[in-house]
Amino acid sequence: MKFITTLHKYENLDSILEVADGIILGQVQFAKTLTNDFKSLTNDIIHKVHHCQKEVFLLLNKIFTDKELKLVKDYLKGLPVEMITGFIGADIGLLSVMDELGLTDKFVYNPETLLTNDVDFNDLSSAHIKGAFVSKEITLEDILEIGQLKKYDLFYFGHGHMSMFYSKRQMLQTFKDYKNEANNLHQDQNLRLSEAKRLDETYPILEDDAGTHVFRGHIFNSFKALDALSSVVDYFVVDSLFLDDSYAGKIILMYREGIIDKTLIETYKQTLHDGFLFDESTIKGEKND
Amino acid sequence: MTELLAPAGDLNKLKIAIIYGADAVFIGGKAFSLRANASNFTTEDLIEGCRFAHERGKKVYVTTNVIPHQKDKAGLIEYLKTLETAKVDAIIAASPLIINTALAHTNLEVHISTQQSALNIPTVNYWYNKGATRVVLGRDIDLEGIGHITKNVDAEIEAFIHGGMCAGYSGRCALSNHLTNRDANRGGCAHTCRWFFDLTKDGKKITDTPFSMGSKDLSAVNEVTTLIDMGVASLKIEGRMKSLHYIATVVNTYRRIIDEYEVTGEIKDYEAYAKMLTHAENRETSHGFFHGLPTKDQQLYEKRSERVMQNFVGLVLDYDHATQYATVETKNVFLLEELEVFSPLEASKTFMNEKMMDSNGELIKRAARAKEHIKVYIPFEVHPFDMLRAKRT
Repeated sequence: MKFITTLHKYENLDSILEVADGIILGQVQFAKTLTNDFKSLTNDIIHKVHHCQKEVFLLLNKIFTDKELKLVKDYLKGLPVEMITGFIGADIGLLSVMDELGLTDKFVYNPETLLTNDVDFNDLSSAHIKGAFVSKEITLEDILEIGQLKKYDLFYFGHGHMSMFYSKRQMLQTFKDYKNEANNLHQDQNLRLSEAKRLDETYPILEDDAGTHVFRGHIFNSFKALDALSSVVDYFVVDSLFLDDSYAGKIILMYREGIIDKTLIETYKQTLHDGFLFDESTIKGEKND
Repeated sequence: MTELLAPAGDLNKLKIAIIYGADAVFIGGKAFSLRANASNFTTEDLIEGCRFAHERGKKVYVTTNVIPHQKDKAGLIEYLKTLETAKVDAIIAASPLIINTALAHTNLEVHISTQQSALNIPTVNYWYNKGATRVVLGRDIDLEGIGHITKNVDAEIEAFIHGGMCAGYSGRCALSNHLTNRDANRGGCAHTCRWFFDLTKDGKKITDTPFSMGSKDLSAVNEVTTLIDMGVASLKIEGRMKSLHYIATVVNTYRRIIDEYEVTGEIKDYEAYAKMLTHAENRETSHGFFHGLPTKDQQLYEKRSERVMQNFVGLVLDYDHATQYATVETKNVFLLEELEVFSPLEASKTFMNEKMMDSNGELIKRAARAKEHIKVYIPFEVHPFDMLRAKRT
């Protein structure tokens, strides 16, 4: 099982690569919920990671219009694609772009909520893609069952603020317009939503060029499931959005060593949760309502 | 000819939708369907619904649009074969598990659900090449994008024209899962996006106005003719949970728009159609993404309730020409007052309700309880399935 993570600062790349097997990058025009857009430094980072014999994944995780797909194609032509391990996409339409560029075997499909059973997970096997992300909304038992039947690499969101919502709408902009105020909240990573009946948790909200995104405030973790996951997961993702590179590095070490450093969790004032690993959501919410 | 596709949460709604002008209806069966809170169809209702529709040259599609977990796989083939036996015209599905199974084991036509968020040509072609005949586009696309796709693909394109909008990309939202433990992709959506939240920055509340992600409902009265010209195959009304009266009102409004445009090539009075829609219980409406990225005018702030109008007071069951009394199933309270007859066949007419009798033949001044069969004197012919409306604000 390889550990890959996101990156906040270029100067932290070396230290991250000391513990991670690879990193995830992206450009704001084609990706959502980035920790950072390294713009002209992106190619340098790709070269550097490649030189270190580590892996680099490029996020293309927006839902695209036809016009945008053309731009994606042009963008990819300017990248050292031979040094990129995989392209993580949420839109199945990207497959045609990958096919045209001869990159299908590097496509990693991540529709976030949709791959909840082995047939859906493996559905692109005839296209010979690199892999796919299992849904974040299923149990450990289902993940293990899918993993035993996988036909390509299984990617797993293992630690971080779990995404709950993705809209194309610029909802902070429209809210500010409604209030007749200028929008100074775009790309602000310090915003939270709170709900009257759920005061124990506030939910990060982020508006970027791709739209509006809402996350769990508590940190999703996989410590209790690590042993079982290691038998089926090929890539374990630590997402440091709303956190930092130091945290990501320490967390990866904790997973590698199987030891939970409680002081780190306390330092960051975090509450951990297990998502749906051990408690499946239901149709009518009987368990929690 | 462009299809008008209507929702139907149960057999009565299916019949109303077809009588009021739908070319096809989409319904949920007892399994594999989102909208778990809709009544949904038993196998017997499915057979009856298909028979009713097919006798009138209409079609029935069944939503099998859940995203199944491992344990949900059991019974799928048998269920799809039941739909096939009932003579369902197509299923609407999002999961490759269901799509592949239907294509491999039945002759059912497969339509790709909006849960797959198809917003570009390669995505539509992907599903078409897999064997689907139709793709329902995501609602997050403008008219130009819809036209571009429709003109450049072989698959039939279906587009939403009216009803509730997901605030996020359909199928990709887990707000309900996390905040209420109800799985949105298996029929449990709690519409969490319509809740009110406080917005904070660095731990401090930055506004007293509640933040909400909720969207106004979609209404495409002004865009329908454009969609027809683009060659969109099917125009879809959302709302399997909606009432008989809502379905009749919305379906009949769009039926009249489509018919007027097909006969005359123009729409003389859009406002009149927009006014017709106001009879239906509705949240506020807007054009959604049709004219670009939604602005504040497409979002709902500080409001979340539908208007409850209670203007639908009775459903006509039959009419006695000799006595001019109609048998009416009561729906809401009404008095000896002016009533409107809303009919799928002709323009609405009003009359003064001067005489009505309860089931014992006693004259009454007030129809007080719902679901009673009473007699109402109506001085002109009315037909089964006509609706009586009272003026309510």
